[in-house]
Amino acid sequence: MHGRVKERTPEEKQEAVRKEKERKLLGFTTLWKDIVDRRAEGDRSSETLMKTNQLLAKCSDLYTLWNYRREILLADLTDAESEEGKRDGILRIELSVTESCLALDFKSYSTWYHRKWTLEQMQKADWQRELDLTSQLFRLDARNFHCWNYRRFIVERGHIPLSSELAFSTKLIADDPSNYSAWHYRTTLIPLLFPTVPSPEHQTQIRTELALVVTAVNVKANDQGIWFYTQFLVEQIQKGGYTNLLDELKEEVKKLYEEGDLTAEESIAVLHGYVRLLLLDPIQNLKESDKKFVDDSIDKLCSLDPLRKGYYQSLRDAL
Amino acid sequence: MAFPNRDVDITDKTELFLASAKHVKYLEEYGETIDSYEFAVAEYLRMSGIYWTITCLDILNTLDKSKRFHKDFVVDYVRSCQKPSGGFSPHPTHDENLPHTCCAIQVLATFDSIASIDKEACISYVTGLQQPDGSFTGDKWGEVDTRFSLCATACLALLGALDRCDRIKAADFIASCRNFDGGFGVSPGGESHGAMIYCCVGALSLLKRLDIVDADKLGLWLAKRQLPSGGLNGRPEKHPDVCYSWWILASLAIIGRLHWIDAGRLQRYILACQDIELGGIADRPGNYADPFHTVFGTAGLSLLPVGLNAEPAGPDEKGDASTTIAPKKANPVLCMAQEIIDRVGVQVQILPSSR
Ligand SMILES: [Zn+2]
Ligand SMILES: [Zn+2]
Repeated sequence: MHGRVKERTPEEKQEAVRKEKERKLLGFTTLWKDIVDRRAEGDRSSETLMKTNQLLAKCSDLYTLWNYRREILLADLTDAESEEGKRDGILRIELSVTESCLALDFKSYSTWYHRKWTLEQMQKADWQRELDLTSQLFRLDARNFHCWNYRRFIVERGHIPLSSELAFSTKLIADDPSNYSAWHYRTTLIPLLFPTVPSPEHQTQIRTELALVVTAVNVKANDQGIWFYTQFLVEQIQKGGYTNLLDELKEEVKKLYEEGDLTAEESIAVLHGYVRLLLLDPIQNLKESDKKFVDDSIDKLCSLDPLRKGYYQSLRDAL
Repeated sequence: MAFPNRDVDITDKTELFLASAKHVKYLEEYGETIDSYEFAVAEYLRMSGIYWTITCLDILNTLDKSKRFHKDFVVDYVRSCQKPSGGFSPHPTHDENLPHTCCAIQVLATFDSIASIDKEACISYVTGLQQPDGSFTGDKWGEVDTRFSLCATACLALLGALDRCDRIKAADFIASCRNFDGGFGVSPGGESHGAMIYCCVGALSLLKRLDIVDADKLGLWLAKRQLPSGGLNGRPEKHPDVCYSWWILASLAIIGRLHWIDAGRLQRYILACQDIELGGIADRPGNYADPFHTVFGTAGLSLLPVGLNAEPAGPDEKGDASTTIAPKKANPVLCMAQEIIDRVGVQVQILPSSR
């Protein structure tokens, strides 16, 4: 239902298209009815299991079929309990089924969930292979949130070291500083990797993050992901009480605003970022000149980015 | 360049009126006019489809006149989908789950027919899916997602049984899905996403726990979803889409920050996504319309504080009265006409506007 451009079928082709659709419709409804009947009769055969593959290949959102597969599999798995390795053998076939469905449609909630379920049933799941699979899919779509959720699941169950995940995020950001998913990932990893705040290790990491932000913002000053990440950075700095880092950040942003060769859009983003940094201080602590700068900047932002005028005006209420 | 390659172009010629009569016709005939194969495959969504369609017809003031979506017929269909577990399936041959149970209850509430089903069984089905951490699974198979937190709380609220789940834990779980940017994801650690933010903010509104939301922080993230075309996207660097317009717009309305975006421009975007020829609203201008985007587009328009122009009468039309009536105001949490929510007696929490 998304992104389908409206087009017309030429008159002479309409009859052929209609016939083809009728054939497809009959094939689908016959197979669906057959499977529903088999399930009602308590059929748990591998033949029926195979039949569901055909429909899932057409539409992997048919979650009732995944449910039916699980019913059949649970029965098979109970039978296989006694034999070493047999259980995982059955489940490996299941992994290949979800893999081929994901190749056709990697945005189906039910396919991803079925894959998780399958791994949870396994005695010896190959977590590294699953992790590699997500890395591969990220090459096609580095923002696919199904794949990100799946990766978090793999990392947790497979006890994948979080430090290597942080490195993975750094790599994705190096490839594309606008990868918001990768920035987000860091905000979940850093508090887990450095639970003690303040601490020298945390401070060192935050210094690294500051450098990362400064580099990114100099490459792509109008990327909103980087500016949202800056909020996280500021919170970490404040938690640790690393005032010198905050001053450094302010200086860098100020320099970029005053000296950077910015496009109109970039200067909106940088000015907004700078105003927010100035507003971190209680108003009474702001120098008169800064107060005036913030006030003038709000006017400027309202006229440069009128869509969000209401938001900018709310910043003034803080003054 | 930040947005242009992800945004769409809306020409100035765009006619600024809601083609209500066309949309009503489109919805009434949907299923007969669309591809029969696709319609058959989409049976697994049927209950949602009915909810989208009747809600849209209701918002457009024509549900009571509908022949195809007549109350008795629809209520019988919904009843035929209640399973022994108490939950509802989209269609009798499919399995029950929380999203379709919620849609079924929304449809029944619209037709004032909740009394016609086994209410107690439905309540136990929903509460039985709540997990020790407060989350809800979508069905007995165990998938957890914040979407299900809204389905469960919305369903229970409409059944007058919100107190039957653990409300404290339900809110705690949603709080555990809150991110650095003020948004929410599918589960703890998940990236902020327009649809899940709507689900979390909506559930918190029903639970009267909007204290969990950092409205200024989230408000900025939501306001940043508006692109120069006026349309809203669901995440940074994504293209605009009418359904995201609803998730983001409704979230802004709930947290009292609707004025942080340009309502006039958004209205123009949604209107530009209409299929003026055949009716219905699409995700983006020039794409195929569908009932899903039609209801969320229409409901979105009803939340905007800018008046809609009346449809100009055609050369040989006298101007059907139904086409000139403004859409009914939708409730931002439940996406149903506010008058139904008032009749059922559901209270939602809405934060006061920031200025
Ligand atoms: Zn889309
Ligand atoms: Zn959409």
